[in-house]
Amino acid sequence: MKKILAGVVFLLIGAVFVLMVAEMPAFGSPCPVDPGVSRYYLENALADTGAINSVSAIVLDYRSSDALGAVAVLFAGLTAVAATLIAHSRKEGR
Amino acid sequence: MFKAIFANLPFLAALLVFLIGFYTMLTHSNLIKKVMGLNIMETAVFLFLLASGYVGGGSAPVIRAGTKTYVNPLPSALILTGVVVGLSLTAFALSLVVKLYKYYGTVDADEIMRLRGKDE
Amino acid sequence: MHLVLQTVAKLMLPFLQLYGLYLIFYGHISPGGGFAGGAVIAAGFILYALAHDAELVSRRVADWLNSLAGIILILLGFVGIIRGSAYMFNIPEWRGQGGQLFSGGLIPLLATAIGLKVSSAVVMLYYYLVGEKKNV
Repeated sequence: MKKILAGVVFLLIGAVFVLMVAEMPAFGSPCPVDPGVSRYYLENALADTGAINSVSAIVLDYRSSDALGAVAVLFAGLTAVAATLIAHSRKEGR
Repeated sequence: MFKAIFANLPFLAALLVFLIGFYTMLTHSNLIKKVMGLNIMETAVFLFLLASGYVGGGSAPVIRAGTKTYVNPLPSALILTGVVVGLSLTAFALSLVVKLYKYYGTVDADEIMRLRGKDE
Repeated sequence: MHLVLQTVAKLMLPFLQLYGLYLIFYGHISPGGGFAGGAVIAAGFILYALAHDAELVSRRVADWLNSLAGIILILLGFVGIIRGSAYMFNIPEWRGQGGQLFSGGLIPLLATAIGLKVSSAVVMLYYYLVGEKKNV
């Protein structure tokens, strides 16, 4: 019973996805909305920061707070794993 | 309609990988396989976002003299943060699976639900 | 583990670490960056620990490096406040020419701190998850 329900939901979601692909703009076409932010980043990355890799300039200069947030999430995940596993093994030892 | 679908083949491939991860998470009863299904779904979402940033005939977004068009650099920059968050999530889910194994003695989800039903 | 596996892991380790350091330090010139370089360095350490069943970097050193890199990353933001602009703004005097190694202002320093932090965090995750049979 559970398998039949899971199969029906899976086929329904698959059909919706395939129909969604038909409605998307063609692969490789430029953005239909005006890509103002990307054009600004590509034109002014060398003059503003001095780095020629625009992806690094975006991640580490224009949006350096996002990189700090990602490092904070990694540290929080490591702390959560440590809290889960150390408490367990100390109880085993005693 | 089929011509429109096969013109957007990278999007279709990303969504197929998402469906594979979804099927893995639904049907297998091993807990580690469910966590791997979650990871596969996350990879498929990143692939979809990355495929939407391609501009036909453009080169990699490293600024050199003499290239005309570049690929959109913005999805790549935002996915870097997402990958790190996905790694952290998978690691925490696996640590919970380790703790469940030590407590119940099995990694099978149906077996754990049966044992919990017998306890209460 | 088998002798072939141990020997190949020991031979591949310096190449993996060199490639990871290249990705970190040349992150502002060619594709790469702090996150990818940190992941490759961590993969080298995990390969050695899996093949030889011994830790190359001890748990205490990895924990200490993780915290040190996090503190350096936060303190690098205060350079912008000292100079009069906002937190973690770039420094215009250190901009340099495009395409040189010493260019990009604060970007190589941030990439080094992020690479150190990501590599030590992933190695610590491996020690916590797999080193369960031995004591913590």
